[in-house]
Amino acid sequence: MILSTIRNALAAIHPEKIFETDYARKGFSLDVTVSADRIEEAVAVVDQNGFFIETITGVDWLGEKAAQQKEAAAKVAEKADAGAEDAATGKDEPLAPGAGNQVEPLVDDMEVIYDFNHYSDFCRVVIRVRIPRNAPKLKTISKIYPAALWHERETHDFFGIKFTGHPYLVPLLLPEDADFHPLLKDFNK
Amino acid sequence: MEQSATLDLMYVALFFLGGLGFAVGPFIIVFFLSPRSTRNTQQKTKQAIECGIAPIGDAWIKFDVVYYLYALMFVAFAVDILFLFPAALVYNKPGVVDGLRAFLEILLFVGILSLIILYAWKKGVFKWERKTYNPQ
Amino acid sequence: MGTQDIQPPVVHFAQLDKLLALCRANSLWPMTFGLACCAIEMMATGASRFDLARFGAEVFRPSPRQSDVMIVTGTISKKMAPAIETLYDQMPEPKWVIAMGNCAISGGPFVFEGQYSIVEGAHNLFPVDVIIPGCPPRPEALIEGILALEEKMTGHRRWPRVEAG
Repeated sequence: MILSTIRNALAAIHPEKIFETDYARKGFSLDVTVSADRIEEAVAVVDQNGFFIETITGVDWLGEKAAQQKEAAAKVAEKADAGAEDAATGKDEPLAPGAGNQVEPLVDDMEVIYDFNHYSDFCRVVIRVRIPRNAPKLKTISKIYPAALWHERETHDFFGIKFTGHPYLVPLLLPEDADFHPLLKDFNK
Repeated sequence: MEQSATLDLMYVALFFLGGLGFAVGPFIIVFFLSPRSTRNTQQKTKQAIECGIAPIGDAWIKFDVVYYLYALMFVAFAVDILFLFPAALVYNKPGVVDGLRAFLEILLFVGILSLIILYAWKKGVFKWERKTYNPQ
Repeated sequence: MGTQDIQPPVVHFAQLDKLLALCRANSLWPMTFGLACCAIEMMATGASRFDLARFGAEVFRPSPRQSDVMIVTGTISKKMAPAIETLYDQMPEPKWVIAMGNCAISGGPFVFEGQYSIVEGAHNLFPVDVIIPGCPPRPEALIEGILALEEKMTGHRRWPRVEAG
């Protein structure tokens, strides 16, 4: 089965996360997260197993870290309340450091998502890569999949992600002299 | 006799003028009846057409030599037809024997000229394998 | 913009103009300028059921140099705008423009505040003679647009107007 083959092959290069998903709910069967420096390895593995590239897209996670911090602070506050009650009954809960102590600005991520599929045995594999939002750079995979030349141009066009090593990173869908990136969450604000 | 010669010359001259009129007339009519300028948005009226973008590459590119060979064949057969017109006039004799002889002679003439086709066939002129020209 | 006045021809008299207008109206050669969904309706109009050949307008020329009317069918994106303007320039006079569909008239359903990608209507690029609203307009509507253009050129209408009801 191609799914187990590709899962084992990708697990061998030690991705950050790898798990199977329900195709009927998600539309893909394997979800892999790799770090930015291992993307070429992962894509080479996928290519060796006979997959073709379907699409490349991006996600702008602006505000994710702030939201996570808020959630963590809310949880700590809950625990602190619970701890105060328990202290009254004699239990000791170690208090987590207050969330309001962080001073440095949060740098959110941008995520690049690659979809691959197989011609004879249908199996959609998704590879996700997270890169920092203020310096979005990623190695191009167009040397392995020449079809990615246009997908990467489009992703650069709309998110501003620079694919290093791409021979012609010129806007594909926006006018050639466009310098704005419309799908960023802070576009037009 | 002279009058008939002059009359013939008149006919030829009239035909010549008529042909000239058909050739030059449209230019004159268009000069008088056409609008004299074109509305523009980007002043690109005179640019060579390439589906709305700037033309890429030169128009003077190398063509395949097969076009030349086809043109040669055409010229050869055009001359062939030219020769057949006076031959048809000269061999216009009544009677079965004379007519048959004329038929056979013209058949021989056309047959020898058809050997060109055979030669061209053997040389591969009719195999149209176009080699495309890549301007890069 | 293309609103300059064009110089009239050297020879110019009324009866000849009427004759020329009649000839041009009855053999309008459109340029294939299908950009989006309205182009499908234009193709349907050119096909056999809603025959556009009855009006002399079946011969869709791919080259702007041989066409009279540019039927702008579909959304004009900002990337496509220079190409359209170039093609409009390259059409020789006399030329007309029909804007078919809501996108070519005013941007259609793609207009929102802060939109970055489309030109809101072909009239921003060059003068438009006939507009055909619809999303997409039916083939009968395109035929009505061609008849309206013919009426604009000759001064009288070829087909009696059909009243609703």
